[in-house]
Amino acid sequence: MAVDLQGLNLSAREIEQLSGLEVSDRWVGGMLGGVYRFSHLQSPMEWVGWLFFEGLAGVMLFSFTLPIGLGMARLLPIFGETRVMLVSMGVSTVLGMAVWYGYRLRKGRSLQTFMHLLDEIDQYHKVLQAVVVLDQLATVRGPVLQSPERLEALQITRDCLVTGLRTERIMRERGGFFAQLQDGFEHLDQSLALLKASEMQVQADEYATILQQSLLIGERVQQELYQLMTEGRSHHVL
Amino acid sequence: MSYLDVFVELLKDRKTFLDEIHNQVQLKTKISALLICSFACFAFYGAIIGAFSSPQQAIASAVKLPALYLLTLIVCLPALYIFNVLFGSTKSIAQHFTYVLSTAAVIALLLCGFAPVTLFFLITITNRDYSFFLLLNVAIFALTGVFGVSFLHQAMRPDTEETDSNVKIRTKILRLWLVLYGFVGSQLGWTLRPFFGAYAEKFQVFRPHSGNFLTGVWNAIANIMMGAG
Repeated sequence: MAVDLQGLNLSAREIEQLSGLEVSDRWVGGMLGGVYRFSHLQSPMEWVGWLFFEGLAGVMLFSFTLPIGLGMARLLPIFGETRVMLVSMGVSTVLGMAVWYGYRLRKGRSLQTFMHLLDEIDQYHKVLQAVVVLDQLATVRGPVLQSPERLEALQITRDCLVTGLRTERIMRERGGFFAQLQDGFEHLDQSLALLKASEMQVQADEYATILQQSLLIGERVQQELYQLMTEGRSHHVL
Repeated sequence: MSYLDVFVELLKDRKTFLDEIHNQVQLKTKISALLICSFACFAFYGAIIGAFSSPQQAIASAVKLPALYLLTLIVCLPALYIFNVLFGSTKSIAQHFTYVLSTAAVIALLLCGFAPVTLFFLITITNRDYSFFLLLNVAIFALTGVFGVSFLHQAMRPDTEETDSNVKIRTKILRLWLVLYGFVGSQLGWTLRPFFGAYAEKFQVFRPHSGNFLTGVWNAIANIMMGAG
């Protein structure tokens, strides 16, 4: 049974191939240019680990700003070499961290759907693990009969997750195209509205022409009648 | 895969690790893991050697030693990449960076292995002999550096099956680059000194600019000889 279930597992490599994004326990896309998976921060120890990691990243950035500090100290020696160096390194680190967090925040928004899918995959793996444990418990009592319905249900769930990952990738990578398509639809709407408006204008013009013609005919009839009446009166007088 | 797992994989299954770099498998995760773990190891060893003189020096060295190794890599990386690409290499800059970071990680791990030895001498040196401690660490840095460099040489050596006529040139480039790496590293180390800080000397983040790495080592040897004489 365990052998069957191994094939149902979605490995990190497979997720990477399907989504085009590297996934580790805590990061999507690695620490550099990636996003942290905050859904994993559930226990206080995990929060402590995350804070330690962020602190270490801050110290690392601080040490990488040493060339900036050295350069500034050479440029402004009158303010005290050490002071200038530490201040410039501190400022560079704060700026660097701000840019880094800003980038992560922006990237995190674009990967919300993917993160949600990853959480679903984690849940699916937990279910798989539970099934394995239940099987192991069952083997203690005797040989286990494989349940095709259960395997099928897991296979369907897996297929759904794979489809979800593929769809999410297309939506993410072709985001520009979909935006263009949306623009196109909006443009089409506007054109239709214009067309409708112009159609109505044509109809209105036709009505106006008919009305004008009716008015002209009416005027002419009135004139003719008036003329006839005038002529009739003159004949009567004569 | 956690970052620690990546580090352990480098130690346990180096062949698979290098194959994965070759096939561009999880490069970003590898780069991040190697960067963080090697930084932590260098910082740990830096704190030990800095503790020779004062706690402030320990903190300063914990920041400076990782900077020394990792900045040297970053400074030298473009030269390696551009020359390799110029002579037919198809590897990306991310692959090059992962290879050289793996070297840094190997050196960092070896330094952590020597940490108990350094700590032992730190505790047992009776008269706080700065020159001895300095030379001991120069020897440790040289030894770990040689191992790291040989690792990089093995890892980045072009495939023998490759029919490319530039393979020989690329091997020569790698060797020359390793010399460049050592040269830049030693000069950056000299610029960022002190890492140890002489005993009972006032703490200073950096020493005034003077001389170079080779003159410094020569002076330390001369001090020991004069002390023995």
